[in-house]
Amino acid sequence: MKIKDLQFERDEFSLGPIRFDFEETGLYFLQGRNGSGKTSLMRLLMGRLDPSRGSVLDRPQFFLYLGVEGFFFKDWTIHENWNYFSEILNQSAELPAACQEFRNRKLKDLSLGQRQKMECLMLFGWKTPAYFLDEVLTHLDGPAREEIQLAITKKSSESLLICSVHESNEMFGSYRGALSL
Amino acid sequence: MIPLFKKDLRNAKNSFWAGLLLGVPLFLLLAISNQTEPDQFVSWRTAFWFSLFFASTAIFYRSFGLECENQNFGVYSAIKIQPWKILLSQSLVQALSFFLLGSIYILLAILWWSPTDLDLSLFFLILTSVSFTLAPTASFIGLLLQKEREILFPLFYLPFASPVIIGAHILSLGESTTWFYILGIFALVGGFLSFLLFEFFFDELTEV
Repeated sequence: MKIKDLQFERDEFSLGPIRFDFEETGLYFLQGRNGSGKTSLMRLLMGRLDPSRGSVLDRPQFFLYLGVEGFFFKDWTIHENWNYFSEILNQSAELPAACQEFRNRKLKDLSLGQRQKMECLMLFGWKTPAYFLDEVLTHLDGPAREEIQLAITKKSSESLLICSVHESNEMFGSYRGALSL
Repeated sequence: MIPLFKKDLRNAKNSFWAGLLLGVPLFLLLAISNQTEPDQFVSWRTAFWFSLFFASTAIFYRSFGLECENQNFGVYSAIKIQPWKILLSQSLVQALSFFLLGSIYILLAILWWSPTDLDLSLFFLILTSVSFTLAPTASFIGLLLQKEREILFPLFYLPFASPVIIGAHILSLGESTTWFYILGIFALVGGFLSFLLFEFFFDELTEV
């Protein structure tokens, strides 16, 4: 995927111009403070926002996005969410082992951190060429953060992972590149 | 398509009970007030269609509510699920809910009015027609409400649904079948426009 002189302007907010190349696999970070445009850039990369100028080339045909709010049904159990989205994604993998402990718990009954961890682990249980992760480590404690960082690093050997963080010291693993906004 | 339908069926449970409980008091009020009137002017048909129309707003109003609340339109878009399948699934479930609601209310009508002029086969034919006429348009309008456009429900749905309900009432008198054609036109035009416009508003909701 290539970002070619990408610019985005809306009201008083402006982003870019940005020029950046992503390899087909590997971990990349978008780093910036609140309001710097990380989520906007993700939306531009996913094709959910139209740029004012420039373009995004060779966008992956399929991808998954996970933000702080997640996309799972909060009123369903982990197991029910897993089964439904596996069917929708046409994938038949087993619920990841680390989720088994909570399989019959509803997402809404978990703490914010537990929920975020479960959502990340479920997400990586499915195969897709690219993953967009918007501040998914925000609510995690130390051990959970390490577990998810490990899962992200492992996944980056087979897919493209674009992860947004606030500070440069939040970047981890052997990432291929970072874009500071 | 099947997983979508199963999901919608499951999520419809909440709005179905709300719809059922919303219409029953109105139905009973009409039944009781009718019994206390010397002329007994409210027919079972009037009570039935009024109550069903009233109750159905509760189910249609919540179309796609859970999807929006949980922000999972983005996933459907990311993995390229065709939007028409999403609307079709929701419409089928809403039509089914409306039909089920009508089937329960007709039992109440039998219980309170003991109608002697009820032709069950004609009744279920009308109920099926109305269910499939209203469901796609109502589901689409339900989607529009998700972006704080509640005003659109009374503005579009009620004018669309009122002639359909009046037609259903006339049809259930068993005197004319012309309204079946009118319902057909409503179903075709409403369905066509809903599927046509759905994609545009669906895109809006995929924004994260």
